[in-house]
Amino acid sequence: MLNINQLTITLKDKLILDKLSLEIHPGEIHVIMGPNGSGKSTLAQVLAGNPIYNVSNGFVLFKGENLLNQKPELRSLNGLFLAFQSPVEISGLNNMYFLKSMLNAHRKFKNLSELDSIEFLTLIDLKIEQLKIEKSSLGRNFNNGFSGGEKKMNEMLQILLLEPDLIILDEIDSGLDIDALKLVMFNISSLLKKQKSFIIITHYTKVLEYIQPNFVHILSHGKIVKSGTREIAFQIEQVGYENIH
Amino acid sequence: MKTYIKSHKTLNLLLDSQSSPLVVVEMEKESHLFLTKINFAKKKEKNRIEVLLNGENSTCEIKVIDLVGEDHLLETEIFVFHNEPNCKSNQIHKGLYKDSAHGIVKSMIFIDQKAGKSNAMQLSQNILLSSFAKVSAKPILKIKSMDVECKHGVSIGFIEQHLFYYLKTRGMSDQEAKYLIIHGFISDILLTYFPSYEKALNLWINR
Repeated sequence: MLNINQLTITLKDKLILDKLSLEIHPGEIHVIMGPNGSGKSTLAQVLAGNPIYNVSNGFVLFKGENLLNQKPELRSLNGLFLAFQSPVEISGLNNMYFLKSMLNAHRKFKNLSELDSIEFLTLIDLKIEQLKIEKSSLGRNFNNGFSGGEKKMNEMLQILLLEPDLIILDEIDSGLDIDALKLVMFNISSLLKKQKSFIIITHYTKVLEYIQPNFVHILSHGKIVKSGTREIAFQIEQVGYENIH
Repeated sequence: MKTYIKSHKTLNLLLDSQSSPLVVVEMEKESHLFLTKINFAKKKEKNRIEVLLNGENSTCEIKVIDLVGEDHLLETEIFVFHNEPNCKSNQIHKGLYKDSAHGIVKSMIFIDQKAGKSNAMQLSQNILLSSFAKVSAKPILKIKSMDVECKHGVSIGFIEQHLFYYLKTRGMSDQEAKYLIIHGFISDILLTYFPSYEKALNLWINR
């Protein structure tokens, strides 16, 4: 699914990721933890195609294709999704209008007919029910005045609509209350059954109470310094990042 | 060509590019004006909306969208005169400029000495869709009464790149992302007053 090889990233001459390698197969969950500034979000943004980062070395294959020379929209259309740590707000843009445009852009790419408003309403009703999202949020402007948790649920709603193959969740747990987090994790488990892959970036071990990752990686100074089972995460909780060897 | 209207009641005016370039509306006591205009500029144009609040407790709400492309020049003037007490005005101007278009926006609030308890607001928001496009926006406030509440604001800028990037990560092409952001920028006026212009907006963006 995803093969990151010796990826080296700089931003304004500062080394952010240092020869990072990682391989993710269909249906796997990889949790990435690490102290602030270790490069976790940079990795997510580089995979999504943020143009501000400079790839100094290495390559990334997604479904066997070179990911790094693809524009962000092509990465998305090919099945990569980044749930942002801080999703943007777009004033005036109706949430429902955005969601329908997004889904139809993907359907057009797959040579499927675009959904009309009634077909889309039928689909979105099912998805908001899965996430227990208030229907009124669809009529609001995109993320405008949404709480942190509501924005994260709106990212999850997009995931349920698109069902991408590789889903990167950048601190999806921040801002979510415990009930919402359980719902998110329940839906992640459902997507896993469809062989979707996940990179979950988090600071906390809370998410590990609901899912069983295949690997937990510890990122420090742009490098993966340790990989293993979720026991590593619980170890960190007790001793901190500095004492992990 | 000039359009002159005098009203003593509630007046709804919907104007577009075919409307007269000079519209003067005189509002009498306790009358209310809702004036909305969408303007796809052609070559070199000058449009002026002049509202005279000549009766006590009269109000006006003016909403204008300007779309200027190619090498066209559009001058927009929105002048509101508070000539009597207890009047209220609200001007909202939204401008979009692409290619090597040039916009000049002058928004004026005049409050006469005898027009106490006036409440006036003006806002001009402008987005440049090309680095060759330009706009100058000049708010003019002439206030002769001390007992007024008056606010004004102007913004000029390009589409914020982080919004553009976010939409592209959702599979939108450059054109689709631009359309959604522009649509959002003017949707409050467009969808309420000019829903039939949605297609024209799409054509204008992609032209």
